[in-house]
Amino acid sequence: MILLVGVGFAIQVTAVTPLSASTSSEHLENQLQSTGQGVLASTAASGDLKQAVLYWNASTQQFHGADNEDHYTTNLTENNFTSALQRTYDPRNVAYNVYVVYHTSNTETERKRMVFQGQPSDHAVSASRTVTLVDDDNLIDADGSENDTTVGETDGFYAPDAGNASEQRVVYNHVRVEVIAWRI
Amino acid sequence: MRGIPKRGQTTLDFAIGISVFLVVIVFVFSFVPGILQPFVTSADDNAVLADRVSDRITQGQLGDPSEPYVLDRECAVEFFNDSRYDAGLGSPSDCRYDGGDIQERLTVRNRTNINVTLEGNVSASVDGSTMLCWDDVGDELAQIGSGDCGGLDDVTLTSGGIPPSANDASVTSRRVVFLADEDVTMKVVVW
Repeated sequence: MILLVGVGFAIQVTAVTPLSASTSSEHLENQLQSTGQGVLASTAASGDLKQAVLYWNASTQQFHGADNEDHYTTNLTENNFTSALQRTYDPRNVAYNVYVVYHTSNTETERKRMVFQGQPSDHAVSASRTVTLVDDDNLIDADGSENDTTVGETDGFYAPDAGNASEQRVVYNHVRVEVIAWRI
Repeated sequence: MRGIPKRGQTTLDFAIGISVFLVVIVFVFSFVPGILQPFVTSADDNAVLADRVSDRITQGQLGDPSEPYVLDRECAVEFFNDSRYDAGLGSPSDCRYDGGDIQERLTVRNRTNINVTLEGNVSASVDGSTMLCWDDVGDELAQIGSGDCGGLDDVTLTSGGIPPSANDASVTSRRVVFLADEDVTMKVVVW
């Protein structure tokens, strides 16, 4: 009887809630998601986000300086957007994937990897931001300068020209950059 | 005869009585601390508070609510300008915060210990991410320790009490914001 009472007391005293300190409490997930939103908002405000989306080598069909097929895994200092992500997340032991989601037709979308660091854990969070590409946007070279080729002219860009209906001639594609982050 | 107890209480009676007594004692001891719970801020409350405060300041109070995480340069720098609050000047009139003490400006309870700091790596001469200041002469952000922060009108971008150095006594909430063409980390510490 005394043992049962003791066990009952101990169970009632200790409680694990979503806010209890652990590697993935609600507080930490909120923080990861808001930090991702913050990095996306600040790189969008400085123009670095659009530059990262256009940082594509149309002849070799990969991002400039990609170290894993056509996307980045460890070489993250190539452009300002991935450097900002690395500066923000690496000191806090957070791994992240970056996907660019683009339209292939009126109803379908496809995902392109920009950064891939592994399968996300169960507690991964995602933050996203949309970027509009117009036909006159120039591709960006490896050194950061604008290439003469525009996305409207070239066939080698990963996103197709989805804005060919009469009212949307100028729009090339409407992409969404997704950052998925999780603690390791 | 020996062995026949004089009291009208068998062993079973004794067992039942002592069990009831122990249960009541345990109940009382576990109930009384719960009465004091609303008056004590636990670590859970601090985590929610730090989260809410950092969400509020990054998503509208120091900038424009239509552009979250982008801070307005003047309102943000004046928020950390302790000399104007110490002198009793109060907050700037066209910013979205009001009051003197940091607790008033952040609209939290008076007894809350809170500190807001901006950190980043913006100066080439300093390695890593440290506290920032607004360099009035150069009209840009600079890191403490880079030598650009000593001027009279320079504002150290931190406000509030000094956080305790023991890590488990405080809760920190971090956000990334865009200020004066740089992305900086905002740290809100509650203890």
